[in-house]
Amino acid sequence: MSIVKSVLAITLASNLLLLVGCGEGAEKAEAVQQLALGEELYKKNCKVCHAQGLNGAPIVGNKKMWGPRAEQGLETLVEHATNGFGLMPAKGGKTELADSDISAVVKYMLSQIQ
Amino acid sequence: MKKTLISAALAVSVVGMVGCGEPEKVGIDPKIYTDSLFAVMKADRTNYTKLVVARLGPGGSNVVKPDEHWEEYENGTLLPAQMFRAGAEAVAELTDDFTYSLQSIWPINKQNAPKTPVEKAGLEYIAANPGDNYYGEETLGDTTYFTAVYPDVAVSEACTSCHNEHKDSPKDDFALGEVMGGVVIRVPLN
Repeated sequence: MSIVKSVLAITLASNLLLLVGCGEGAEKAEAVQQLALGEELYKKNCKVCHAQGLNGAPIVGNKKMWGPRAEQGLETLVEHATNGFGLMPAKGGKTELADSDISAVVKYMLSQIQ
Repeated sequence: MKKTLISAALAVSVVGMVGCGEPEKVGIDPKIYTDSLFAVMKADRTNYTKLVVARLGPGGSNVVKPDEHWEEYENGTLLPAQMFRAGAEAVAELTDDFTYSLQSIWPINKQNAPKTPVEKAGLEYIAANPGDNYYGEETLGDTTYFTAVYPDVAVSEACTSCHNEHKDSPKDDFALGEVMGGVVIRVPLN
């Protein structure tokens, strides 16, 4: 293998690694952004019940309340929050929220028990 | 040497006596006390809403009629907020160790408006900061109280429609999830 080929191979490998690194970084940044959005939406729309546990709402950060709920999985929790569950009305009564907003809030709430 | 030993023994005895005469004050933190009382109150209220009103009312088997004027119906039962007030009245008959009440800066019944500056400040604070509690101290007569105010939220259409349409309500645009008033718990500190 010539020196030129070796240099080319190393350069390609380095670029690939950089690309993979960038992809992971972008994913992490996206996740962080989603959590920040979820927190903002939570404070504006959900905190009034979920900080207090009103009408049985699981308190954010309370591992005892969230444990069995978390086991149901993100998809189920988002479905419950979107369509209403128990005494909670659909979207907590904030019908103007998009389904993606509800998903972001649920992800934020789940992140608080880790 | 003998004098030194006697002095030391006396000093130790005096320190010991002071320790016995004034035991360190111990007791539950007032905030933990009122938070715990509120936890029981909201659990009971949630259970009444879920297990009686929702299960047996028009949304369930429809055998009871939850209504503001429940006494007028043979199968009438109290609205959750009225049941909560009934609990507060029963506790007031049992003890002076603490009191609690459901109040609002937009009360349908004027007797449920705040009466002290701390109550008013607390209700305004929880309305402006949804999800947060308010804690303060106030002196009424010769007693100092720890006063905690917790949010009372419109959790169903029944809450908003009743308040918005009530002829005596000073506010007619409550929305779901909005703070409508607060639970005021007062504990004497001395």
